[in-house]
Amino acid sequence: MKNEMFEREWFRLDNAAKIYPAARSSKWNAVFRMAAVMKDEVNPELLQQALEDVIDRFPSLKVTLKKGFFWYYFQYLTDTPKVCEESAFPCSMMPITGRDYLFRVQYYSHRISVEVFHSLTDGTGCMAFLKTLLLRYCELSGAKVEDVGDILHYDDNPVPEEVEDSFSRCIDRSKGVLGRTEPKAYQIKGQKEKRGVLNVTHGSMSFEQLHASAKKYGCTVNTYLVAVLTLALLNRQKYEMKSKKLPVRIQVPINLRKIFGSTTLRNFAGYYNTTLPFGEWSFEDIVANLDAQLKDNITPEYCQKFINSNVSLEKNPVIRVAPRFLKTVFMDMSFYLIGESVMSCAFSNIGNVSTPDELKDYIERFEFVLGAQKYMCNSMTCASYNGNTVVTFSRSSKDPILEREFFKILTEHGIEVTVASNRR
Amino acid sequence: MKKCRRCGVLVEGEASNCPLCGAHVEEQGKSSNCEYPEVSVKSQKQIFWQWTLFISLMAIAVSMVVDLAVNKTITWSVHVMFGLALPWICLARPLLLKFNVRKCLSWGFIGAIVLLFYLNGVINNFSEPWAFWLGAPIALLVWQTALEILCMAHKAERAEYEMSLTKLCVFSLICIGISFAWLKQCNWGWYVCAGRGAIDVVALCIFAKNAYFGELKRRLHV
Repeated sequence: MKNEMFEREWFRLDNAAKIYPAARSSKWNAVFRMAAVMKDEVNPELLQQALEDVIDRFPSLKVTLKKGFFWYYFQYLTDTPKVCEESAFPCSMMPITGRDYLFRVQYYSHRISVEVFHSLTDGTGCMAFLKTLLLRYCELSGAKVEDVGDILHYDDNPVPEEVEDSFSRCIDRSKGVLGRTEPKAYQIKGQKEKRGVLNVTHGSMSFEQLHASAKKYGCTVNTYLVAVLTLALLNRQKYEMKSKKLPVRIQVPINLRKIFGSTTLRNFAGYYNTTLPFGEWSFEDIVANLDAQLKDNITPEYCQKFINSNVSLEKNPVIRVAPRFLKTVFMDMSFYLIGESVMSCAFSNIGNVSTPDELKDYIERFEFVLGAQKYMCNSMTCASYNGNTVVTFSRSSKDPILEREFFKILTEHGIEVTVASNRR
Repeated sequence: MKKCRRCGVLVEGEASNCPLCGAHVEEQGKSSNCEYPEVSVKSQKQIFWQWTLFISLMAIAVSMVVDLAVNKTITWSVHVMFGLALPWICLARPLLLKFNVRKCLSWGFIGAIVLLFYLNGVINNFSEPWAFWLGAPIALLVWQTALEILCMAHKAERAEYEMSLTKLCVFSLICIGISFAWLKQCNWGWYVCAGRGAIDVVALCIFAKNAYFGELKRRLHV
């Protein structure tokens, strides 16, 4: 397949990336953060040096977003990106000026964070970049790493497969498309914070305790966390005493790379919405129901249909010839109707982050933060490292309703949770 | 670290209250690596703009209610609405959102043209559409001149200015078409605008061929 990134100064956005520039507004754009908390305070000079050494390894990040007549597109930048000290709320608005990078590397005290506009990449791509950056940073700090494991080494050349648009490669129209008519889901409506404010609460716990608790209920850690989140939302809905009870629906991302054999560092993720109708559920029943939903529905066939649905829409001749401003209106509406209004909360689990043993002397833990959602107030993420799991809630509302309920359930299950927040 | 009695969680860092329930945690925790900077939430400037918008909207609403109550239809309140909405959209908003020079200029000229059409409608209800055959072409010519000067002065943003000049050329051609469809003739003003736009485009094709065509290809995804 021809790879335009290695032939031209610009390239097209992948299928998943197209929705984010259209859905952005003057108050919101889709930004997420991957961060590492180091054992020692961060040295900005070394971090800048590390960034300069690794950035050429990730050509898909060295771009800015420009407006075309039909679509947005990425154009290469040649300037050197600069690290900066964190001074705003996590995942604050990313200025989309057509001149600046769509990611930022920040430091504050012991934390190194990479914040990315979602059009550039997904969690897997961002984590790959963060790990390479940390590898170089630790090497500059004195670490001697012999085997880098699955980390992309900054001295290697990027390969076309890492920058391909895997959505376009994997479309197979003969397998059909998904029907998408999901009704509205329950959402916690708290008092909104002021513009730009994001409240982040980290709950760290032992992975061993979490795993043991999940094993007790006969499910994976991922399913266990989805079940606890679902129960927390059901409990909250009971408390609200509204006459109309809605189902609880959690959006769980699917990493499509393993299923379709892709190594792309751009967006290549789908999602599945777990649904549980309102009612009296025991935790065991919730786990059994969600486990069955996740096992039965997240299949290669579902993922193929997911890709087909999205790419078919993009390749529709009528949509293709429509000017960008018309597409923007259409995509912004669909972002609300089939995106955020049908889910109660987004949950993304980056899994167990692996690094060479030498880096464990430098890195304490990893954190993953989703920025504020456009219409929804809450989202939850999870990252595990070196026997420690960090569950992070981000919310654009004032009260920590969901996280309070969530951590209460975990502590009732015997898991010791340590919480920290960005708000004092 | 101190345990919150209400939530049952341990509280990390120097927080004196539980982040989940707000309950006071007596024993302050030891310092933690999980620190965030202190961020001020809202500036005075934002509050000023929000109040300005609120007062403008209230003024529009009150004038419309009074107009409806007195005249049983909307008459003079349209002028209040237009007089407050246009400066807000074309002047305050670009400044508030920190638009660049080119965008501010574009919104300024769009506002000026809309104002001319509005005045034309109020004065003679478009029986003599001078805003279309005289006002808009003159505004467009000034706009083109400003873009040409900035295009030469602003090297880093040259591609953006070149595309804006091309758009104005295309817009002039569309207006010639509208003129024939509406007035059954075309005034010299639009010919001058289109001619000047064409000269700009030809000059770009000759003197900046590669950069200009490269940018056009990108914009059209060719």
